[in-house]
Amino acid sequence: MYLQLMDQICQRIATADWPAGFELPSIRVLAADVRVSVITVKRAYLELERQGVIVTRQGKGSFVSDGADLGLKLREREFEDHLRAVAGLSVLLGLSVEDIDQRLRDLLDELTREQQ
Amino acid sequence: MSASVFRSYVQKDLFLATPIMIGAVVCGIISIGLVHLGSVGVYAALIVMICAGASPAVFICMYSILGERKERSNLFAMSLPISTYQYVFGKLTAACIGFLVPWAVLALGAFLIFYKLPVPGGVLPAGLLFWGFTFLQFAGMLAVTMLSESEALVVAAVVVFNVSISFYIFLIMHIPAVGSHVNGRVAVWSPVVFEVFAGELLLAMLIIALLLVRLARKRDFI
Amino acid sequence: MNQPVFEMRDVEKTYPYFHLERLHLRLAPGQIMGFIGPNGAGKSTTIRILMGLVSQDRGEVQLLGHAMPREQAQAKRDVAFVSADMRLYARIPLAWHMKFVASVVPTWDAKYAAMLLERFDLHPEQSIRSLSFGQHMKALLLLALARRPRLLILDEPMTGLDPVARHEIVSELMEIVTDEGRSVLFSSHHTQDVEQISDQITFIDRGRVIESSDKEVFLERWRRVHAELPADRQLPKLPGIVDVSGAGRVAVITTKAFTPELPAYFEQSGARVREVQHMTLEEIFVAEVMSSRKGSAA
Repeated sequence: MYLQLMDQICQRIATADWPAGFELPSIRVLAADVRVSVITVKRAYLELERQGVIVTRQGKGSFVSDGADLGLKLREREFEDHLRAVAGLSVLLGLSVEDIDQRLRDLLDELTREQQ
Repeated sequence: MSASVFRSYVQKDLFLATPIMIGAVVCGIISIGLVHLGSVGVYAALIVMICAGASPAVFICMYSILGERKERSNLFAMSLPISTYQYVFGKLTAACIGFLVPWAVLALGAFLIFYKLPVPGGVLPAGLLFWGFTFLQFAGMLAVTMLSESEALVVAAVVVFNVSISFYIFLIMHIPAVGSHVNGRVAVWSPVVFEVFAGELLLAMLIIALLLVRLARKRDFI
Repeated sequence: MNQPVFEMRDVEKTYPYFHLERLHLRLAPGQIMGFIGPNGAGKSTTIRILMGLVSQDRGEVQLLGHAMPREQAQAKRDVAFVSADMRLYARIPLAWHMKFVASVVPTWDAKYAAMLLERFDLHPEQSIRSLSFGQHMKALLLLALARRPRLLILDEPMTGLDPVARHEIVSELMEIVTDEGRSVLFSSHHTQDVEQISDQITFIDRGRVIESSDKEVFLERWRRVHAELPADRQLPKLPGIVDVSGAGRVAVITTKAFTPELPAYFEQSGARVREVQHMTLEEIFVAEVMSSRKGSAA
């Protein structure tokens, strides 16, 4: 449940609805707005902070991370999501770590070749 | 804080019972007009008075106490800042006021009219005893209603009390000091009358007091 | 503000056909607790013991710091209660009820009450008798909400409400906890609502509290694992596996003790894990109850 909320928040950040340095609504206010439990919002904020997308200052509130590395942070998040999906699929397909490693190398080689 | 809450509850019950209280008094007053029809009228008046006097009791027990429980309005009442004892005590207080006010008004009204108008007053002492009996009946009904919380039992009690009216009339007619003067033109007030009347009142009050004590020990509200 | 909103310790209650066992329950302030369980599980009994309407046979109950049922009159100044089987006085209009509650509860907010009247589309001069079931429910909720209570206890509040009304009630409940000093306890069969807005979930079945924990933690522990199992292999018997079903070679394993290592564990036994699904609260509810019923029948 908190994952969906994290997506929503990231979207708002990405579209500059919530620009860099913007103060996020307090946990309870956002909970009431989005109609989810306070605990879900807390979890989402915690995760986003861990991923560096937002910054929480003691006693002051939570803010959107400064622009400079925000794009990076969001990409970082996207990467993590995709990686998670790959990991899950590899389990289903029965691929070993070595298989994944090999396939990744092949893809990276292909990309490097295309760029040249 | 609690005192005003208690008052609000009693006021609410009395508010709901007001129509029947007024109706009883009005019926009673009208019935007294029947005494103009001579001795038959007097008896007719007495009977109507009895019904008028009894109706608040029945209404209060069936509607205000039992009905509230059946309708689950008591849950609403109990969701407000009041203890179960206060709720029950409030019900009891409102019930007693709801019964005694018309009861007293009718008794006074009857006495006034009998003394002011040229009607045979021999029946008055018996009437007084009978009126005390209705209070005793009310106490009994109240006890049955609040302790059994069963509609069936209350209806049974109403029937029993109605039937007992004839027995009671039979009983008091057999008190020499009372029965011999019933058809007379003048009311004869012997000490026996007052003793019996006082006895009736005391017994009724005792029943209500015991009821209160028993209710204080109730643990589950639902 | 660190005192729990309510705390029930070792509470027991016995009826001829039902027994509430050694109940432990507490709620921290500023939270919403969702109370779920099958019919007859003991939700209403627990709530009534908490409200002091029923005396427990054993155990302690503290509501807003007051010992229940002894101090219920004081506790109820700050606690509003609505139950689906509660009724207002039939022959009296809603306006009278509003005045009555306002005179008895000092925290009544008349402006809020007026706003709710409009939102719920209720007419104060209408007698209660003429209200539909849903309107009556909304009237009860209005009378409770406008008291601005520190704790709002609701027993099946969504009964008879149309989706719009439910939506509005959920909004009002969420509005309550924007104040971190106010809390809500509600029992409901609408598991979707419970899943959405509860901070804590308490699950009761047959007089026993099976679970009372942080919602996210609770939901994270349950999964449905779809695995292919060759005919000659057996799945490991792990604690926490609530159900194994499925047709042919595909097994569907329902577990309430999921860890990220679990799929690997299955793989070691020769199964091929095809899918790992989260479960909705409704699915968890059904799985938990069915398994406990099977367990007791066995």
